[in-house]
Amino acid sequence: MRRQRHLLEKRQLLLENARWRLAVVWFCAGAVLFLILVIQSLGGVYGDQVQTAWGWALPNFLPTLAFMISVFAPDALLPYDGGGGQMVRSNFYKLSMGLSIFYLAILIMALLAQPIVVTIRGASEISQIAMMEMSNLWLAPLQGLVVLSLGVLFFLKKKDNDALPDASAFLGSRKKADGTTERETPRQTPGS
Amino acid sequence: MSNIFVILSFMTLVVYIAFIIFRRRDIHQVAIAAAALLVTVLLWDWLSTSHDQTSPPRPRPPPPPPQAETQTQTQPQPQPPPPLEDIFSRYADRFAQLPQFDLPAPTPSATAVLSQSAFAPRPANLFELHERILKALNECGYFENAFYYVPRGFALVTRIEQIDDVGAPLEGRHRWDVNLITGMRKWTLAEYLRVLFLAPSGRYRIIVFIISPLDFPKSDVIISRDEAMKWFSLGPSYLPNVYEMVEFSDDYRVTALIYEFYVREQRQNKDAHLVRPSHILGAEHLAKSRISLALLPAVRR
Repeated sequence: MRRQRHLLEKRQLLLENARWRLAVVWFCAGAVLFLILVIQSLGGVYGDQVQTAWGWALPNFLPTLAFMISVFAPDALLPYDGGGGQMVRSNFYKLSMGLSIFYLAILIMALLAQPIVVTIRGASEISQIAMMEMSNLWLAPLQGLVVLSLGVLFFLKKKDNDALPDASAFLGSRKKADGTTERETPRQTPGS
Repeated sequence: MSNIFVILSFMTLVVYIAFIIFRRRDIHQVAIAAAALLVTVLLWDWLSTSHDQTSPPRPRPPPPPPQAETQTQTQPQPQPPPPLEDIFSRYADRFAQLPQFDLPAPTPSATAVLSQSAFAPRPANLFELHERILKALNECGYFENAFYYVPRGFALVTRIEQIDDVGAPLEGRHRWDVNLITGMRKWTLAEYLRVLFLAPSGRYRIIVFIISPLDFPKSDVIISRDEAMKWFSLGPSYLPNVYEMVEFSDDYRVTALIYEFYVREQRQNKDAHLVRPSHILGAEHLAKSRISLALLPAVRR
């Protein structure tokens, strides 16, 4: 029983924890991206095409950050439930996290690779703005996958019995004193 | 022989007459002795005259060697140089092989005047001076130059080059690249961060050496980089030999006009503008390009 519970806890985690971990990754990467763009704009890297550069960058990460904030906002003034709540499978969480990290790395690399590509190929052949526009070719499909995985984690606010099985499906059974077996019931949390 | 005979006879008669006088002989003996002495003198004179006529003439001494011709062959007499006006007017057609430099010259970014001690030992003429300058420029990598005519002298224009913010030429192929270098010049972290966060910028330089004894005023004309590049492309790359006739006298001055241009890609027109005045002095320009060092004689380096 204990082993099953231990395995169960390893295979899932609280949805709120998963959301916050993803949010930390997204906000940190967004901050790095934002700072790079600000310094480049002040340094005149993009010249007269600063608006084009920001027009490329902002839609790639800002809507996701805004969406996350909008999900966290309603629960910001509610007391903490003490550990209970919706659970999510760790595999799906790892998938979402991996996709997010990969997508954000590709996004930042589109800026960090500019000096190398311009040096190798020459600015007359490809400029920074052209590199940004070209990166949309691979960022767009990746963004679709990322948004889909994050949507599952961030759209769900509370348990839906018809949509997903609750944690009791992974709990074991115990023997009663009269020899019969019954399933363990999950702890009831207020408001659920 | 006859002269000896006459001389002995004369001496004998003189002695005899003296004996007669001191011994007080009579007057007849003195008269006879005197007459004998007279005859002896006349005989001596006759014999002398006849000897000059009959003896062969003495050979004339050889003429002295012609010393004046020998001196002119080994040491040519230095002729005073003709006046400059005569040279430039007499050979005007040969000096016309060079196009005339735009005068008054556009205001440069910096100026440097080279003293004549920089060219010690002093060249004899302007052609040797230009060879000395060309040699120094070649040592510094300036292998292509253009020449122009200026009154009483000439002008030498170097090829446009890219320099860094302190006046030193860029390394490798970037030095002679007229286009703006947008990538990394070398693979270092500092260069990477510079290209990542800063707009590309370029600094260019053209040096014009003017050799002339005249002092030319400078105009307020602001020249563009493209116009300055035409100085190099339109001027011939050689100096006519007629400049061998022009002596490099104390009146001549060698002035270096440095034209520095700067461009940053964020500018809308992207044209390099003339830096006036430059934050790099003219002497620093020549020092960073190593021209001033190359002009020094080998003994003094």
